[in-house]
Amino acid sequence: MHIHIPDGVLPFWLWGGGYAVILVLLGLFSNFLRRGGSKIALAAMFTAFSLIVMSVPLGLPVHLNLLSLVGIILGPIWSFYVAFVVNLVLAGFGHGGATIVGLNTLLLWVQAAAAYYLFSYLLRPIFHQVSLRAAAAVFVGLIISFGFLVLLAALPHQRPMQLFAPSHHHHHHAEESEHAIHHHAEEIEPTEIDGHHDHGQSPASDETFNLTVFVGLSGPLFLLVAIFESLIAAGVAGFIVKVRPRMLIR
Amino acid sequence: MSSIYLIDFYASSGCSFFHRRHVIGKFIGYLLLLLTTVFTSSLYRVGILLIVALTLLFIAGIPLKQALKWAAYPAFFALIFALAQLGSGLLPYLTLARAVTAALFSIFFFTTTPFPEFLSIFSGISKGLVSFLLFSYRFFFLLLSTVEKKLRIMKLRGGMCWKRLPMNLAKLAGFFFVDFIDRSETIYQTVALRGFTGQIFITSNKRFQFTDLIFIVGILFLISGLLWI
Repeated sequence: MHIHIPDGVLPFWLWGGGYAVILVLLGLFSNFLRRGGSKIALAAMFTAFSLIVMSVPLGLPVHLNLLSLVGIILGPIWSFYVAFVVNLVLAGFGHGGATIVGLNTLLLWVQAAAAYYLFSYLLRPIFHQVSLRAAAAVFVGLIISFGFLVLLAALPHQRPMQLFAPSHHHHHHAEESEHAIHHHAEEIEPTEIDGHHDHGQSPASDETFNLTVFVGLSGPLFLLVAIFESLIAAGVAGFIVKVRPRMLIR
Repeated sequence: MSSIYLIDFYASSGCSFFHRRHVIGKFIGYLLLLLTTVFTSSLYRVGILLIVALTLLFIAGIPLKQALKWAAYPAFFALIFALAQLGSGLLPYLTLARAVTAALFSIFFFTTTPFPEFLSIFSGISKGLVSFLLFSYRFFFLLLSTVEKKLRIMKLRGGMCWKRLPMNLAKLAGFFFVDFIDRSETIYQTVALRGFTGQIFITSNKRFQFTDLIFIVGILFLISGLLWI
């Protein structure tokens, strides 16, 4: 599972930066596409499968993504292409986030690449049973991806520690001077309903984002689906080890 | 099951004024509307853009109920961000409105433009990426029917009960993963025999006409008017 960042919640420098990073990565990895051979067809199949899985909501508009598993099987470079194409298609096909394709790709790629390295190297000495290792790699990969999401949500704000304040207005205690309150109110440019204050900037850059609420709302949901996805990963890995072990045991 | 195949259906079977426009004209218009939505910090203007998006979808003959159903997805995730912004005036509403409006513009573009035509924009940039996207597009429809069939079989045999669901889904996914290895080899050999060298070039079969230019100018007028009021 991943939180699909919608359009208009992050400032331009952040989503533009996301696009810049993936353009550089697309350029760097372009040789893999040219010399891919049958791997192109295989990665495209995983992309199509991921698209199907991601377009099936589990009650709420929440879904599995299985990209960590795809990362374990295809490796970090091909999983980058899978993450990019999945986000590009989903952005157009109803999930939104056309301006955030770069960052959403990085979010998915981080979990796929992390799961790959965890499964192939870091967790190998700890978990000898492949299914357990896959479950742990997927779970940690998802947690890393969530951490990255929280970082992205926090980045537009200049003073990250203040983000964890219970509420925007609670910054101001009763004992604070009237001057301090007045000064703070001047700092924050309110969202205009009459349409006379467009400066081409996202209001997300205002210091009005409560990260505690964000983590409190998305965290439990994320954790629940991450556990479910890890269980699925364990099952998939167990099945593959029985049927075609060379896919996972390198 | 997934309903995103409907987007491809509307794009391929529609014959509205927007369906007949050249992909470049539509893409420029879409980008202009999308960026205006994302950069607007006025709820009033986003509200107008939302009405514009719904009107465009209506004229294009796309069922609004279905479009709004798709837009519920970005609305849900925008809601998480919006709730974190509570206490900052109209900002949470703006976050929600922008996410839904931008998603509706994307839906409008993709329900009026067949996916291969959209890929023709990228043909000049990276043929390798275009071939990868085309493969994924083709496999999506091939796999969709297979996945639906397997899930139906699983349901009929009682495999959907909550107790066994995670393990059964895992086995099903595992089956597909193993199957992909064999299928991808066969498909690659088939396309290689037909001369595939890893690069596919796609061109649009429509010509850029004067009407397409008028379409772009119309959108520019709309945006200028929106910024002026």
